[in-house]
Amino acid sequence: MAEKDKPRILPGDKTGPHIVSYRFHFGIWLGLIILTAMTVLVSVMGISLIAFSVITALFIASAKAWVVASYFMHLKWDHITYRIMGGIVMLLFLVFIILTGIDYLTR
Amino acid sequence: MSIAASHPSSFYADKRGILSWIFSTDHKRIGLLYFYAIFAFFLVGVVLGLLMRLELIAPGRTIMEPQIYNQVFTLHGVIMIFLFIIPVIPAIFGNFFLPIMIGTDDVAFPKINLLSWWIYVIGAIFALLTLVVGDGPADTGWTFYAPYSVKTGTNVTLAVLAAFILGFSSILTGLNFIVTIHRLRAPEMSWFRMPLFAWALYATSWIQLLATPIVGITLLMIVAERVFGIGLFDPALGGDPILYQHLFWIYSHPAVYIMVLPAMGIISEMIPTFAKRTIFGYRAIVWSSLAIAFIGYFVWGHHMFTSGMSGPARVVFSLLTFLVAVPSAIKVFNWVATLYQGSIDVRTPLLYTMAFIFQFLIGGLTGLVNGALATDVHVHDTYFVVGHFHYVMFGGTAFAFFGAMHYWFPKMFGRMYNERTANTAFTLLFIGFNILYFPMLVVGIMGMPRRYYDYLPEFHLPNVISTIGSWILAAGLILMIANLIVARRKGAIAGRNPWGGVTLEWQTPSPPPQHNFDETPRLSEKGPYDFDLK
Repeated sequence: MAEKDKPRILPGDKTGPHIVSYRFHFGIWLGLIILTAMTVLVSVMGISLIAFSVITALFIASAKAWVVASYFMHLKWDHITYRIMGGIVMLLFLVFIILTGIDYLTR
Repeated sequence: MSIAASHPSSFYADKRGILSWIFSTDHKRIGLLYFYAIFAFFLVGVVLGLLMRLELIAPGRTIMEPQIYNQVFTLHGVIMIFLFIIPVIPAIFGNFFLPIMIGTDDVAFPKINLLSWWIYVIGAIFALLTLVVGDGPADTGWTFYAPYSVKTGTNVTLAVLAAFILGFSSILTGLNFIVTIHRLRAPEMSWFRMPLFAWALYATSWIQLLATPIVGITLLMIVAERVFGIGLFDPALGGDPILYQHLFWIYSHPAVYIMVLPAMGIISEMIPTFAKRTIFGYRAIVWSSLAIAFIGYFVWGHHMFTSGMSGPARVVFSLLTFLVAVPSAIKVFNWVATLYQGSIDVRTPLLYTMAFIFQFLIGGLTGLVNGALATDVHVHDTYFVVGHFHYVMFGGTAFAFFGAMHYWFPKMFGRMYNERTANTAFTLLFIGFNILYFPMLVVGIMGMPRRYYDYLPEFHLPNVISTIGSWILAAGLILMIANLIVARRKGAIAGRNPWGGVTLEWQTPSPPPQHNFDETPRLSEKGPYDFDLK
């Protein structure tokens, strides 16, 4: 491989280029399926507990997003800058929920 | 003589023919493709605005029926917001100049860049299709507020799909710029040696990337409700119309900063060039750009003070709104401080810069009236809000756009324009603009509601003045465009650096060669505005 074609590795990268096994990816996929099943279960069971079902669904969705970003999008192995960016996005999402919640919970 | 013939080493001469343009991945060509498309839609929006003003010259019917009026102001809003003011500066000048200003040969993803232009064109076609199919353009206003947007028989579905598609163009441009700035800066260009226009685009791109998907999903929810009857926003179906407003403004208020931050970046470029001195408070301007982008996410509720939102939420949003005024004021202070004791060279772009500061100040200060809960309740949904918004968006962003057109015209086209004619056009635009929009602030305080087809007799005189202002503004626009068209064909050949600028685009020929630089550009250790470097 020519020098210019080699992947550029930033200082702070944990492993640089890496290979993740099919078995590992399959495990992550299975975990996402289980979390999806839990979301459906909560929505079916939570008819009398609407607020809790919404909160639980949000938690599960956030966990799924985190898993996808970390493993399928390889954020776990990436430079800290990109993990911080991911964290800021989650923070913004949390702020949206809190500010909208202030309206809904104090009407 | 064509530019390709008069500048044989420029990117114009590299390839010929329409296909070399519409399938080009060169950032400069894509910037120009956006330029022609966006400017064309801007002119359509201007014509619709002129028709609205003509209708409002007298109470009662003047030239159109009420339903047509509702559709005209909606289409004016949709075109001006989604097809003009959001993409105008990042897509045109960001594409053309960002790679040059940071010392690279293209954006990080040139093919995605071309794709985003095509998506823009497809979105625009969808918006225009609303004119010719079904019951005509949407009549909801550009905000598509539910539940009316769910119930009206006009082409809301097509219009929101247009906005949805255009959102992808915006997201891809933002993504491209973020990656370009992170990965493709010239080796010696550290973050704090980057020009302020690049910083402004960086802050803007994050908003484009993070906020636009929210409105995309929200607009799809409108379609889902209209087509499948899913009760999301319509109370009759168990939905919540205020939820729509929350979701819409979570995007659309940060979108205001998508519109104005790049304009501020342009002003930060032009002021040092024409004051012939380094910018005052470089880092303060950088941090204020990032702060505006960040705080801008938390203030959307000030659009909803009279919507039925809870009292505590209104207080919280009012408080947060005042925070965003601080970094905006920091910028204005730094621009004025840069001019202080500078060797000011009053050229056409600087005139637009001065107009921007003056009009943005009026827009900003009237924004505080809207942001304060107690006063907003009185002026909400009046012409005061229309006046405020146009002072920021037209008086601010569009004037910065016109200024940038005159600032970078020699670099983009390799020719100079007639400055006397350009200054006359500016004078007409400045006078016309203020005659058009200042009466709106007055008539709004008097209580005239926005978006109404008819009005009370006591509002007649301000409306007449406003309409006359629109004609002066149109005359200024025609003169400005004619002057630039003539200059593009017959203007004197421009040198590398007609204004004496020091950022990297002034070190390359006008127009730039295919790969942007014919020799390695020089960077100063003192930052991007080192006038000792020359």
